[in-house]
Amino acid sequence: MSLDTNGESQQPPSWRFRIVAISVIAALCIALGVWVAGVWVAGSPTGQTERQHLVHLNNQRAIVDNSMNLYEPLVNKFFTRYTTAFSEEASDQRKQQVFDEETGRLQRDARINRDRLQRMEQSPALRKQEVADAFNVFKREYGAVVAYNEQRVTGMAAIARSIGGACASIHSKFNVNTEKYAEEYVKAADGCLAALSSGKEGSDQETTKLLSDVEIVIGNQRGTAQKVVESKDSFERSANRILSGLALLDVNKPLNEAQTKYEADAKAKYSALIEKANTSNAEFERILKESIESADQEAKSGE
Amino acid sequence: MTTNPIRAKRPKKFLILAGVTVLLLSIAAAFVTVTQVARQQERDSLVQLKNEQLVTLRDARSKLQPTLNPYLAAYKNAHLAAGSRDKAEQDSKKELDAFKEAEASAREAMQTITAAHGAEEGELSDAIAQFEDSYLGYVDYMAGLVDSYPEFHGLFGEENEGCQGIFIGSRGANLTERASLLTEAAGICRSATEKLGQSKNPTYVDYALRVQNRVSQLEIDGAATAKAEQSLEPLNASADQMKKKVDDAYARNASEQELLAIADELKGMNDQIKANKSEFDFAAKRYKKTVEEMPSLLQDVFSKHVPDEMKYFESVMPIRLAVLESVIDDALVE
Repeated sequence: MSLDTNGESQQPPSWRFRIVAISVIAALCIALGVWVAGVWVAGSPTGQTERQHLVHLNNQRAIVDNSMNLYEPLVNKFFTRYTTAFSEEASDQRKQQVFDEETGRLQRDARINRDRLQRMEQSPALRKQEVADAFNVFKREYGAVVAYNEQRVTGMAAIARSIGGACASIHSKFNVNTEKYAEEYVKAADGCLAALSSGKEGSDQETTKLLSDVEIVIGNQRGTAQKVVESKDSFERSANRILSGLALLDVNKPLNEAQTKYEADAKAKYSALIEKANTSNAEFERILKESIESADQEAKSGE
Repeated sequence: MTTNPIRAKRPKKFLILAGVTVLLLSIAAAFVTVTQVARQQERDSLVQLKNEQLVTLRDARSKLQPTLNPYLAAYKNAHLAAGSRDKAEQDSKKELDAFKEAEASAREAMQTITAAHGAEEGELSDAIAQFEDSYLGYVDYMAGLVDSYPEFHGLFGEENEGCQGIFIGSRGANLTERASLLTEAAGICRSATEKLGQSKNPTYVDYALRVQNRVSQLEIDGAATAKAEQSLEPLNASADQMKKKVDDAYARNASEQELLAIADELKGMNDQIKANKSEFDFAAKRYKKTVEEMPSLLQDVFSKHVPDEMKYFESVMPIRLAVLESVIDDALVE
């Protein structure tokens, strides 16, 4: 080292110089540390101001609220496609494909919406009690809408499989005036009843009620047809045929009533959920906006 | 060496300290620069996504529909004029190329976005993936509509091909002949609908299935009416015989018992005729209804089902886009 070779001739730095130099270096290091930490923190949530947290939360709120508008077209699309697959007796593979495509899309929506609500839950803005309270109601109501739509898809799938599938045109596809009508009807009704009963598994209250109502109507009609099948002689047979034919005249009324009731009930239930969600959204938005305003005012008076 | 070890040590220590400081300084500076640059780049790329890439994409998307309709019209008119598929394809090539070009730029616009942002995790990539799903769904739907249009149009627009032949009309001397003409036509129709059923467009696929089901129903009902017509002949013959039998019985003043037996026989025959007529009527009525339904089935494709699908895309895509833009805006909040 060059300095060492002529160490004798060089004066060692004075203590004062050393202290100054070390202080300068230490100060530099500290300043540097603060700078680095500052840059680091500024990019992370902890470095943001209260106002920024509130603004983020409000943006998230708007995103979740807007995403809910997708359920109506998505669910309708699922029901239309799936019902068509059953009413037109598409191949099982095609039915499954339609089901997987459309429910897959709905499931992904549900997952992403739940992720959004969860992310909002992490927001530091929720340290403020008022904001946290409004958020909790918001989360509960929107979570309910997400869950209901998942349930709605299960129920609609059951309806498509039974009423839209095995039970469709059960009263129009056979010729009532033939001898074999009763046998044909009993066979078709058994397929329909099986689809109705398996559709009730996992379905919501409204769907279960609809399927049960239809089950009763078809079950009764099947009973009259079964009597024709079991008739011992031609007299008994024709008498039972007349009774069965008369019962058939009344079959559409209760079926339509069941359907109308289901539609009204399901709509009322969903509308109530949407209304609650909308109320919670309006309240949450109001509180967030107020909090942002007061944060602005604090910043102004602080200047 | 005349070095004083104690004296030399101090500047050495000092030098090491200075060196370490400089090293720390440069590491920190490098870190800060890298972080700042990365952050700025991220912001820049988000701004670019919103202000350039999504604008390009919107632009590309808006050119799809205006190139779709001219192609469909051009193909249809060319087909009407030329009468052959090859010629129709030739004469509508310009319009097809215009659509294909619009389709390619629509796909490219999305590709640019997923290439730049698709790998990121979390909110933004979720919003991009959801938008991509509906956007590409729309592009695929349009492309399928164009790609399979010749098959769709050929189903009822082609002479001696497709399903045109199922309208038997007054061909054939009797119902049995008509039924066999129908079976032949149904075979040709079925292979055409099967081809259309392979389309990437779900509306065409559903339509192909609907036609196929109606044609199968026609075959069933056609066979039933033919069978009823066939059994009418022996029934008529035995009716004549019965008439003779009755006349004969009256002529020779037959016993009441015999007359009652003949009456029973008559009733049985009457039941048979009624059952035969009922089966004929039921099948014939449904046959007629099915035939009458065919044109509206065809019409529904472009007047109902395609517009319904468009409405679906028009309602979903803007919301997905708005959500994506909100996610970008949120990431850019200062």
